[in-house]
Amino acid sequence: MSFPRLYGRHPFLRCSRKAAAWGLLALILAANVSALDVVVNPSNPVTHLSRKELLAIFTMRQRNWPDGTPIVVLVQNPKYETHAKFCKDLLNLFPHQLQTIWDRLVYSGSGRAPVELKTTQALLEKLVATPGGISYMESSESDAKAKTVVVDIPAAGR
Amino acid sequence: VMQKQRPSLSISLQPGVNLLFGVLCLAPPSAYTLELASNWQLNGFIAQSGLYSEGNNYFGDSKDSLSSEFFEAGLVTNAQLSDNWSLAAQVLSRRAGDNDDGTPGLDYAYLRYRTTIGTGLETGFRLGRFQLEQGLYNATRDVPFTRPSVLLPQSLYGENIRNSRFAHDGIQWYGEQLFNLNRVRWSVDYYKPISDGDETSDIFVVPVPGDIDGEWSWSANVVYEWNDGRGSIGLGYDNWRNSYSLDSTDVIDFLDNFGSSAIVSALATSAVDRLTLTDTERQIALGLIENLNPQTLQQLLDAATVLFPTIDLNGYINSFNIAGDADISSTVLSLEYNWPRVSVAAEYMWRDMETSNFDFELINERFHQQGYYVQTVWHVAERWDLMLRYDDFIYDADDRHGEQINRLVPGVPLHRAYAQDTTLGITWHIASDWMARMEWHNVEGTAWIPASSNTEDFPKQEYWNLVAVQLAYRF
Repeated sequence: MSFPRLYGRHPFLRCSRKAAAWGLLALILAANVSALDVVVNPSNPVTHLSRKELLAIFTMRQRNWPDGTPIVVLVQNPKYETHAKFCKDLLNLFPHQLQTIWDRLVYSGSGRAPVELKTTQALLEKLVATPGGISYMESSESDAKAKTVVVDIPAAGR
Repeated sequence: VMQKQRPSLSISLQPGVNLLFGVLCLAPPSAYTLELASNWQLNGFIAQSGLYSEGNNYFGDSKDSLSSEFFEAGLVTNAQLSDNWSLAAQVLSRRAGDNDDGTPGLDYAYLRYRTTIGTGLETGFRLGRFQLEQGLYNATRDVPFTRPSVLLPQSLYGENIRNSRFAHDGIQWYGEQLFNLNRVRWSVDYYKPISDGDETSDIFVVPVPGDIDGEWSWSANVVYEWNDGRGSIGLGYDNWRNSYSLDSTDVIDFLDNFGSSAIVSALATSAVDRLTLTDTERQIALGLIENLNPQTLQQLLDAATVLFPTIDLNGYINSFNIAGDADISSTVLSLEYNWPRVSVAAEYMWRDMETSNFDFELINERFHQQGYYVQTVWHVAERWDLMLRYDDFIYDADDRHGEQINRLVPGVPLHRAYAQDTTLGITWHIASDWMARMEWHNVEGTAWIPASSNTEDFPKQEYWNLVAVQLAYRF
């Protein structure tokens, strides 16, 4: 096919057949890796959450874990893409809709906004230090310190 | 021009707030001092709007020119003192034409106790100055980011009694029960209203003199949320009680400005009934009122002085002191549903206005205001919303076309009795902290235009248009 010939003729892309293969692999991986994990503090016995439960937690309506521990919602800076992806893919809301729900709580004085962290590293540290903590992150950025929770998505749910 | 001051704590230290600070002083410091730093949140917003209208003024000189007299900025703080106790407060600066002059004031400040009982039941109380939780928007009505538009539907969230009804001082018992991720929440308030003396003119549509003072009142609210909170239905009731008083200068002032023969006659007849007169004198007096058909109080007094030289009528008029009750009870039914791309909201309000216990029967009256709106917001793209709303308000449900009030006070235009507003709006969520809005109101009627927006007279145009733009920032 034209692929090897094309690459072979460009000085920039020497040994590019190999590179193309790796690139393709990286792309496939990236597509996979960019999935989101919902993560909780390792001490939390919860292993599964339904989407309904996730929505109840992130809209600050459910405030305690089944064992009574207060839930602490930690979020990535809403300016970033990860937050938008989380809202759209897992909560089925636009980010500003979730923001409005939080704003109604915050500005009425009746509730508190989620704790906002600037970096994934800071978020992980906070999560490990907070027994009732819950957050989300790119699967690639999650590490063993945090516990990943399976979000049950009904077959017809999306 | 009457400048309205927002009720502020420095002026009136209401009992609830006193109580709040009392409790704070008594609380053991160890309960919160250490946690204060990490459990303390501060949020704020700032918004500037521009208004351009055709026909009538709304918030400053908006008629045929751009008015920038609508500005909102607020700071909200929430401190978690311990697992159960927290403190919340908002400071707001609001410029809204002649209705608000932008002086910062403490909008609310309360201490809250909250506890969880069993699974999913949470209950507690608030103490201090807190918002009336009625309808979908009242508790956060000044925060652009919680509204669907620059101006909230004026039928339910009008300017007229905003300053008095946004928040009140007292105690609230509240609770919420979560079951199967549905939720029911309720609250009951016992409160002393922050009634604003100047707002009589807006409550009574015509600029009525006199002073309004709040009396202990109560309100209750219940909301049921279903389908993961996507749907909510709420019912709220508020029994707002005031005492209302007029003195002689108020009465003369009122009659000089708005005296019609009907009112002067009614007042004079009522006064004659209270004088110690012989039957003959009474007959003469009533005949005089009827025949003279006086247009002004002075005209009546001049005639009466000639006929009854022995009675000190001026002295009598000057001893006037009219006092009674002015109670406003409102019932609000709210419905909201949020699909992923479309939100709908509708609210209906029935407001019972009653003045009672006045010696002058003329003042004792009871009527009902009615308002509702239906609103749809389309989340057309990640950062864009489109809104369409129909909003309807009737000042007196038994006087939909304003004929009765016009008969009583001839200067009042018929269209002062109603307002139907169709609004089309667009919102751009520029970023998580910036937002821009634009909307167009096409209105028939002028019922909710504040009296102060058109100071020289009543608003004149029955059909009018208003365009509002807003830029808002939050942190």
